[in-house]
Amino acid sequence: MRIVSSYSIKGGVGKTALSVNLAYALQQAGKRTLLVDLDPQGAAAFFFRVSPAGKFDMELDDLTDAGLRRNIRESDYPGLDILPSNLAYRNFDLVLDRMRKSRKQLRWLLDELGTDYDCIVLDCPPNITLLSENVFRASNLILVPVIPTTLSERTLEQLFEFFGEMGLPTEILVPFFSMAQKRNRIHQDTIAHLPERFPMFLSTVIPFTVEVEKMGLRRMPVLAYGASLPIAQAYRALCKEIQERWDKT
Amino acid sequence: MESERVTWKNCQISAELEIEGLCAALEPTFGLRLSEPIRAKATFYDTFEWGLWFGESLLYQSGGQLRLCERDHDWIGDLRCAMPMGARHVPRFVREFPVGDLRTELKRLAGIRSLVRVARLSIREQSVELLNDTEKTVFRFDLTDFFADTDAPEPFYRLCHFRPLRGYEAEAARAIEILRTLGAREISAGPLAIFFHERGSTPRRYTLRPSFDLRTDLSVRETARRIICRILALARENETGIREDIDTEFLHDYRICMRKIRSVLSLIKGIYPDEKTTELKALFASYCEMTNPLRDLDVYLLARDEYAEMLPQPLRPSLEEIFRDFAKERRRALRKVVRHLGSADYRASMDEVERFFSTSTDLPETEVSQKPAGPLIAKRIYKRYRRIVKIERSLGSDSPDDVLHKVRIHCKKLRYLMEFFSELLPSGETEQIEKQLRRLQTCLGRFNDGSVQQRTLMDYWNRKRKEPCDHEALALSIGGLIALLNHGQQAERNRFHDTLDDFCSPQIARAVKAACLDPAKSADDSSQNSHAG
Repeated sequence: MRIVSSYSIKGGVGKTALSVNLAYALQQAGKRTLLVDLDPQGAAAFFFRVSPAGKFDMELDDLTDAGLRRNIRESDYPGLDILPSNLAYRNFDLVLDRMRKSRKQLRWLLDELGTDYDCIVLDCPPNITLLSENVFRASNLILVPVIPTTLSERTLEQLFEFFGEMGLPTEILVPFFSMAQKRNRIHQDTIAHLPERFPMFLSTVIPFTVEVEKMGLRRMPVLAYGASLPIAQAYRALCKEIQERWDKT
Repeated sequence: MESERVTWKNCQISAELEIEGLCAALEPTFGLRLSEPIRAKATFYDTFEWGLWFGESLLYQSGGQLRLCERDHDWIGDLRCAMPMGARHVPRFVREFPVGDLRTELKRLAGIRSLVRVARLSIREQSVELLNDTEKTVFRFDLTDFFADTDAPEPFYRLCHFRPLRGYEAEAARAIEILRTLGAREISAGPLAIFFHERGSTPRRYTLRPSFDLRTDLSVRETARRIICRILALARENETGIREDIDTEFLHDYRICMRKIRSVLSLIKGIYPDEKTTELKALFASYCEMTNPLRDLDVYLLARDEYAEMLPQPLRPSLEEIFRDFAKERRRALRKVVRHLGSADYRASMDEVERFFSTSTDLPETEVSQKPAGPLIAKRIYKRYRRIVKIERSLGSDSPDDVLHKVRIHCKKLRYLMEFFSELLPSGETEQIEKQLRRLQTCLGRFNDGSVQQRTLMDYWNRKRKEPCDHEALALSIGGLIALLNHGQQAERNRFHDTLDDFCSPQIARAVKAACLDPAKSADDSSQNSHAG
């Protein structure tokens, strides 16, 4: 079982669009996949028409694999399950905080669930919190969408520094360019030069397009309804690259 | 409702209900999405003995594939193995399949019996998705309609296979409840079972060892009548298979039945007055004799691959020639048997025999005919066993083949005695005895086959040497085969001494004694035990 996360310190960078399409691509490749929506906004589950799972009491006793299992919902695509987000995740940090060895708690939980799945995709909330740290320690790969602006270089640096300080392995960080605009000179310059400093960048660039917004109207991954669209082609290429990277680790 | 959800993986629903009616009932609660119906045809195969069906398997050809599956609710279950194959090319015999998983599995299930078409169905499948108000799928089911013929207008059966989604258990329960109000019910018999039932061809277990419904206090004559009547019916069941030449086992079983009937008549003397017994024995012997040449040739042709493997490559071409001749002779022999079985004489004689055994006869009683069968049979079994032990004591490794032949005949008689009357003997003891007896018989059977095969090959050579053909090559092959068969036969002979030793061991002797010397008491004991248990 592999765990791959979609994570960014900043919000609105195409993180959820990646999780949703990656989870779908893995299902299509015949992998039993669980998409865990850790973002309180619940956007990932929304794209699969899965509503929040009733009252999900994030009490200490309930944060067990049985507690999580109870809330898993099968998507419309057999082999792809969703663990929907819940507003109670807001307290996730508090719950984790109360537990000993709390930095590895998520990994243990996911290992328990892992018997049912080949891959688990985590859609993470922005910011660096105790939950994010749990995500870092649980993941085999962390995919980081980067909008190619001048500011993004700084954000990426911060993430690598944080990994350094916490003694986390930086080689699991996999950045890629997201929401890139062809006619934007700054975007094009960043795409050309940033990988010189961060050679682990994936070569596929996800373009900016309104199609990603339309995913919200259709409530399904763009890969599922618009396979021939350029954005779908980009996601397919990206997923392929991710799996290749994954096979190397 | 909770338990319903767990146990119902699928259900049966009235085939008369239109899909529109089904939708109308579900629509107030769920959104609906229907797939385009798919149509397919499938042809199912099994053997006369239903070896696949009772091996919990199904073999079917559909869409250019031949598939072997589990039998699940009398329908196609999990796939075990498959191979590409068109409907016209399904081989009749397992030995004609290419080497692989499918052949291995089929060999286990069908043996040397022919695969015959048992059903040809047409299927229409449509899946239905139930949606909630956000158009998320919350429950799925597949409706499969079964048509008894490729162009039957109405289905004879409708199966509804549930595909619930994880985390939507409440919705599944609601959907199943609606289907239940439409008459959905748990599956008692699956589509194929219904199909066979409606055609009057329900799979039934076939055995050459049926139960005869005997009791120790029944008279000798009535006991014999019950056994013969049942075996005669079995023999007749095989006639069609012989006439249609479906496979070699029909004739094989037919002959076994005839031989068994003759044995019943000779194992207990005095069932009928002597002249009647002689007449009946001669009659059943004649039924068998008619088929002797065909059976001999069957045995040869079945051993074809075995023979080919025995000989080195350069000698095989003349073997091919031998088998071509045998196959030609077999065609002739078969025609004779078919003519015989279809003849008015045979049918009249069979009808008369059946009538004779179907009710009690008014022939004069003999000294033993009205005695209770139980004690008499037990004494016979014991006596027969003692005779084998006596021969074993006088036996040396250089004893002539005739002695082995004698032991074989005694064993056969003992085996039939035990088989026919096993219902009258305490079961615990007889199993052990029969097991040892089977081992001994297998060994003696092989020894005897060896003699017959060598003799037949010599006869064949004596015929062929007078005809124009490549005598040298033929002599080489036949000589090689005879030498190898003789060698195998000697190995069997060595094995025979060990097996016979085991069969005459004090342990088996004790078991025979316990089963036979006071069978009434033993049988009573065992029946009491079973009541107590």
